[in-house]
Amino acid sequence: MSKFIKNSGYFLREIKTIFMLNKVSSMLSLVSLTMIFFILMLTVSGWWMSTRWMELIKDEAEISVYYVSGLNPYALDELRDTLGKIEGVNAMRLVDAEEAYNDMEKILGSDAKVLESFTENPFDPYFELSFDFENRLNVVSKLNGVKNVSFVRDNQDVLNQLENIIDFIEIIGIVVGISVTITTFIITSHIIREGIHSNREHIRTLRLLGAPSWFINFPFVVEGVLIAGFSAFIAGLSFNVFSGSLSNAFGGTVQFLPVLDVTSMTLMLWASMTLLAVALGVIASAFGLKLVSVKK
Amino acid sequence: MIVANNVGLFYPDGTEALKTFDFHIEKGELVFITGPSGSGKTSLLKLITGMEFPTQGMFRVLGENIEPDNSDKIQRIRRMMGPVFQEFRLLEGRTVLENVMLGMRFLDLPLHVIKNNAMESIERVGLGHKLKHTVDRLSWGECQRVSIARAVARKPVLIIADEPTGNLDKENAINILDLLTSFTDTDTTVIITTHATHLIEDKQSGVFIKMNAGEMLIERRI
Repeated sequence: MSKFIKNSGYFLREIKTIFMLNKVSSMLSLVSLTMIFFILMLTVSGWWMSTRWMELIKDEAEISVYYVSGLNPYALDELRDTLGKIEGVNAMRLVDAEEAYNDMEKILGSDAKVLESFTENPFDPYFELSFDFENRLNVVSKLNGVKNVSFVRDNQDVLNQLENIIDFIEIIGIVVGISVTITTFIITSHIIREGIHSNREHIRTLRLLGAPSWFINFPFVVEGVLIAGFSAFIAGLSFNVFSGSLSNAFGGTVQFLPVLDVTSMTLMLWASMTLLAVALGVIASAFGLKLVSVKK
Repeated sequence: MIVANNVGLFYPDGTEALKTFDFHIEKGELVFITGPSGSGKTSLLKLITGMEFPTQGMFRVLGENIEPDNSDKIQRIRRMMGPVFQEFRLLEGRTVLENVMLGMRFLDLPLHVIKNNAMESIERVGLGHKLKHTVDRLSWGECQRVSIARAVARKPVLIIADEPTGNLDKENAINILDLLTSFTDTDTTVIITTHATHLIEDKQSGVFIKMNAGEMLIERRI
């Protein structure tokens, strides 16, 4: 450790020299990696938001159970008991016809005038059930088999489509993640190899003077780490500015999607991407050094 | 210090760079290796510094065998040597002091000792007034002196100088040889290769290795 501290000034000058010897190439690598990390952040945040939305939708998902009209109070209580005992049903309440009318009025908003054309309330009372989402197929199947149940509305198609979209985003996320890792690895290794090539005479001199490998390699590894880490940091900074409008854009466009607080996610992403970049920088630099060894 | 038993160096194309030879060089000896270009001088230096490995025989430098699978040990041996390269191998854009300090940065020495040793050796080669000059602005002879300062600053047990008088006028060449020779006073072994035999003809003591087409003739003058 003392040798590192003792030579810190020398190492800093070396890192600057290595960067300046390949200035254009190093700058291009920095820009490329920044853009790559930005794309990865965009993908990860898209996956995070869609997962969060799906969880919220799952929490709020309800099944409406309509029953045959004209049930006497005794039969209605019996139906309530039967529904409540079905495995996977968490809670239940009766929505009467008047509440159903009011709910629809709220949903329709200014278009609710259409309801005034009815002389009588067109809505039927129903049971509103919250349920275990993972068990939904079983719940729906059992509900359909209950005596006096006339219709079960579960929005199954919409939920399935949402799940498919989230699965797709997850796959895209994994593919982009792997691509970014490989690309970062290649670019960083390449820039390190270029640095070694440009400094080969200097490295050879150090070897002939008996310098140990750590002393020769350290500035190159630090350069790789700095380029990758700084790229991720800039990408995070840009993404931080951009992300504020991202959730609003999605949440605002699709009405049933709530607006998410992305601040903590953005900061987490920024920190984890920078750490990932630093780790990749170390591994890729070590790999680059292994590929180009100045022997003898 | 250096022991060669039945050593030979042959390249894969069949070239006999060094024909089978034996010798030993002791601590504090002054060694001159002479011979025309292509005679094997550089090959012998490469063997000593671990840049080449013998294809036959046993070659030991500072107690270690020079073998391909001994790279860590070779690096350790190199740290005990003070090489003066024919082409200097100085870092451009760096000052005289920085270049001399570079040879010691990875040794187990505190920074102030490294700096003091560097300044002392720069003074000794007569460049104390150019400490902060970048090496790009120095003359050929001055670069040679910086190279020597870098080699001796780390107080090596073995100094190896490859053609240190090349491209120098007679007066400067003699000065450089005298400077290098003076380090034997501190029990340092000094090996110098040169093709300028006229500069060493009058030397009264030392080991004189005359090389010709890979063969060597060894003469000891006491």
